[in-house]
Amino acid sequence: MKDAGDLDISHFSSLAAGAVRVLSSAPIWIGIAMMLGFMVCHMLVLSWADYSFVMPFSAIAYALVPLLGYLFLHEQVSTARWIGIVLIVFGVVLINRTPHRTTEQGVAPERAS
Amino acid sequence: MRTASILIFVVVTGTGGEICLTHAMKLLGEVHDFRPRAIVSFVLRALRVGWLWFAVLLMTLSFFSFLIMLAWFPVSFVIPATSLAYVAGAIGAKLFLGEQLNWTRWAGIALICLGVGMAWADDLPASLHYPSTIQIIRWTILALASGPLFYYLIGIYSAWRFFRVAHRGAQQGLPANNDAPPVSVLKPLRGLDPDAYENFASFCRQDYAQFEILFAVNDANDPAVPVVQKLIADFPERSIRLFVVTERLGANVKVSNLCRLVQEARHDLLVITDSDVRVEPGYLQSVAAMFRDPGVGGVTALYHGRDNFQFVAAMDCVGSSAAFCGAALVARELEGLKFMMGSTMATTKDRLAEIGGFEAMVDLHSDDYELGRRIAARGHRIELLPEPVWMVFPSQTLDAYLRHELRWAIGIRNIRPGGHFGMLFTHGLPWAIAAACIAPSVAVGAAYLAAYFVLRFAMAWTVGAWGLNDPVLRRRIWLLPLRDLLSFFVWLASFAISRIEWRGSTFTLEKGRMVPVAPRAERT
Repeated sequence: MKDAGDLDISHFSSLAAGAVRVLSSAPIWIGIAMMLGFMVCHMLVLSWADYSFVMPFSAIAYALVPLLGYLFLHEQVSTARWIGIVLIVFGVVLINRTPHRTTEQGVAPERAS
Repeated sequence: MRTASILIFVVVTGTGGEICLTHAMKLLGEVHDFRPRAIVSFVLRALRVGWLWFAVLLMTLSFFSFLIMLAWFPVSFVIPATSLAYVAGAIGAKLFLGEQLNWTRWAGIALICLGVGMAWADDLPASLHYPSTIQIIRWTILALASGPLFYYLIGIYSAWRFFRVAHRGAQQGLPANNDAPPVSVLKPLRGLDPDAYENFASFCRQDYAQFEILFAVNDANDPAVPVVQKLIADFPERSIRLFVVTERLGANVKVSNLCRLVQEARHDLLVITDSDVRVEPGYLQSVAAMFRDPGVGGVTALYHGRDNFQFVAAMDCVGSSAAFCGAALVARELEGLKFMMGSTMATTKDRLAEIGGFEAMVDLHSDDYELGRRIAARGHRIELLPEPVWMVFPSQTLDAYLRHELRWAIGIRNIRPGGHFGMLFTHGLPWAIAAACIAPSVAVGAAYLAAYFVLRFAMAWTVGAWGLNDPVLRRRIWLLPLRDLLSFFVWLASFAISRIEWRGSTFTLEKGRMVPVAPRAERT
């Protein structure tokens, strides 16, 4: 997105031009494909667990990114960031201790036709 | 301000999308088979659920606005800011999905929010570090004020889902049904409503093979008695009986009457309607048809108003069809109906026996609500009739109208305190006004007000005009904002007042039960 530059949304035409610029870059499409894969997994998980149980787990990603950056790319990680990572992990551990489903078993989908 | 608007938009659309998605997945049931074929078939099944498409729409909006946000701001601001979605998600999951969040989960979510903030807020510009309290209040109000707008959108969607099928059914008509079960129509009465004779006669003119009509009053001098006697004389071919019920089993006189009527009823299928209801000739046939599905334990009906253009009556009618029927349709869509409305309470003697009959409900205030709730709790479905019934709204004073609304609101608060509090997010007008007052620019304030008017009227039109075909609403829809404002104050008042006046006596409510308040000791 940074490659595409600052989006100008003051006029519809410039917004459209911005959209074309964004859509014609390859990394965007790779990103979209991976997001589709994510979406299917996400749907599967949501079919058997609470949303308020699943959602916080996705925060692990925010802890993993700086951690992997530190381990493999030898990036500097500030103290604040370390504390943040510990908090996220601790939060996820807490949530993992709660029952994963608190609503009733799913009912068969009603079909109108 | 650009910052706050886009942040709110990203968080609200994203969370809304996730909640719709979760709802869709829960409808599909659990999937434990991870072979590619099973997953493809799961995805195909999912694509046929309307909620999924709504979810995709919202998530797409959220995703693209997230991209815009990334292009505008550094990632070290965007990610901590959007971690608000964890809080929004938890609240949404509790309110809309009925998930139970214990304190451990809340604590976990709070920690994660804090953690994401700390881990990613390294190079936050100094000005953004400590937003002032005013700023926080402003953002919170602007975010919450979009709640009712989403409620209206869900209302439009729910009404579209229901009436699309209902209207199609109405066009095709019902197939001829020769084994229609005989029906007992039960009508507890007290006093006379406008056009009472015509209301009652509409039940005598039913296009239905075998049915009886049973009326009950408490007092042989009730003005309804001569009207029912005239009815019996005018329709000799119908089996019509009138009972004067003197025994009073509990605080709710209507339920006492119903106990007796159920004992006297000869048939298994019971159709109970309020005295001010008028029906079309195909009504009983359509009620009976619903019970052909053995899963159905009760049938209730939406209603539209007959033309009474007296100011308050029209406002009552507009509120009923646009707001109350709308809320009922949203409840049906989100969790299935778990209540009934006095316009029609139809069930069978077996279902009634399962919940202990009306005898178990003699002290309850909201008998229609409770009957539906109890039948649903036994695992039976409550269905809505495809066609609304007519309701005759009496001309009344503003004072009487407000008292009636207040009594109803106190009743609901007493049975469902959480749900009643959640109604906060169905009151769009006060939120829009609050947002307009604190909005940082005139444009934003105007946008909130405009969004309220557009979506509110769109929902009212979809439910009341397109769906229910309500003639009063069509002509008096402009009464809606006034009614919304009054109903907000009634809602507020319902938290402060717990005594209700009903038929000349004062009661307090305890878990839905009416407890008479002893009249004050007379001064000597």
